[in-house]
Amino acid sequence: MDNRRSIAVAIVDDDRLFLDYVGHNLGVGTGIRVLKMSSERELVEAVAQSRLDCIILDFDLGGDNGLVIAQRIKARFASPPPIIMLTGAGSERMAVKAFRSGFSDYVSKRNLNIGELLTAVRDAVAQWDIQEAARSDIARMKQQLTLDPTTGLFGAASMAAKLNQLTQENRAFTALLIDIIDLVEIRQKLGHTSADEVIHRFADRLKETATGGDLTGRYADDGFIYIGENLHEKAGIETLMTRLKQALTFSATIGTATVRLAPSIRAYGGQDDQDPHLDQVSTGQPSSASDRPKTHSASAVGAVPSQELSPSHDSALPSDVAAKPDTRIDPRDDLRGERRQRVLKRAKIVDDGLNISIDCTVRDMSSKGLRLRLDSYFAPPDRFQLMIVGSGTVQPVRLAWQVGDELGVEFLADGVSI
Amino acid sequence: MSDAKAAEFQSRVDELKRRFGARLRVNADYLSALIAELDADTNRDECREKIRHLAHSLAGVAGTFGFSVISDAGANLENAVLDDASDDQLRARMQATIDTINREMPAS
Repeated sequence: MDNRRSIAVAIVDDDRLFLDYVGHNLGVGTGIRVLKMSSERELVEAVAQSRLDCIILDFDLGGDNGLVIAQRIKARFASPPPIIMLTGAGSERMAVKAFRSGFSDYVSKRNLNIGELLTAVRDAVAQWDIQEAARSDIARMKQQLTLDPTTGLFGAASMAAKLNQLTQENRAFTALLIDIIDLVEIRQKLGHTSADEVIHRFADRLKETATGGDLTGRYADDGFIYIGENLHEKAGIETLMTRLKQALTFSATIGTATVRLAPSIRAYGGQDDQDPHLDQVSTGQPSSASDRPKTHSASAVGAVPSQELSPSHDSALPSDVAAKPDTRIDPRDDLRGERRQRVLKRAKIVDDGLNISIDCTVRDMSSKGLRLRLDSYFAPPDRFQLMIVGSGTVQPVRLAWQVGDELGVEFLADGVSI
Repeated sequence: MSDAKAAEFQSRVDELKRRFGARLRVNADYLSALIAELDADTNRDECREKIRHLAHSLAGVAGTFGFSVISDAGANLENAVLDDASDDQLRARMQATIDTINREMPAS
């Protein structure tokens, strides 16, 4: 009896006939459910929905390069399924490149043997299952830790225990639930590693701002909680919220992007069930926070607030607390003095180190550099060659900034024209 | 797999192979057109990229469908483009690929 679990595999290739042929051979009598896809967009949607156990990705996907697509998937998702590279250009060099880029395996399309591909899929999934089990164990252990290993703040379990204790002892307290506005967008644009760095910086600020016996920690996935004991006067709470809002609104440079951060803060009171100490208030208007059910955050740390507080009245707040904060990701060279000329030319970023080229569009230029737009996320090296399609001009450039799909580059030679 | 399912499976494989065979003949015609484009010398880089892309596709896919000789011819042609072979060398490789397709896939 075959005890192997069923496996959902995405095959991504822009050759429809090849896709049908391999999909048919791989999906019949093997226990594998094959999802056929022709674009990165379809693949990203499927990964986002956690529908896949393995990805078979063509190296030469129309205008895109499989290495770059895999890089983007890995940047965007914390734990994507294993990816097997499929390529017509079978060579040892290509195989090394695939493994160095984090592919689980490499299979040549040339004279492709379906049995070999099937074995590669099963091996990759088995390996991934082992790694996933280890990751789950670590996550469970982290949940039990007193301190959150990412931020050094108290962990969610510790904060839940503290809230329970305060509630049981009928002590006055206020819990502020704090989220980072636009964190979801930051994660999408800059990748999960950069988002973790953002959380880390934010936590440092929060830690510095806590006073006296107040406690700061984590709740839910990405949120923070601030517990102030003996804090129940409305004026005091508002003052604290204003101070937190000011301290947690700042710019952080993450890699080549500068991210402007701001908090969403909601307050819950303790002790007096009948007479809430203050209205539920929020600073900013984050979609993620406002969409979240009100009781979710509290239940996520294992404690129910003494009273679900009524919706906010912004007029009751200081104006700087009620105003929507200016949260955005800024390129570093916003202060450039020279007027830029609009351009629309196709170009290629040539990375000699990885031996890959990435399609992009030149959007504007000055005598010092260019603004480029990538078709989608890519992390280029610090220096690379830029080839202008059509003219054949090649210019060495230096990366000045990157925000999502847009790059600013500086010419490394004088008197440049494209 | 039951006999009926096996027959159904094989029937689908045969159908996909037949469609691939038809595509190979279209590819041979396209290669002939690209030889003419190369002769016209209008946009050399663009023409060579079209040749490379087609050769890459033949090299990668033909073998999967059981046409390993055509796959090898495609690989030789792709290597010629990547090695920046002269136009004459490229024409010879293209013609050799067309001949291989015609030999392996005679017109029905």
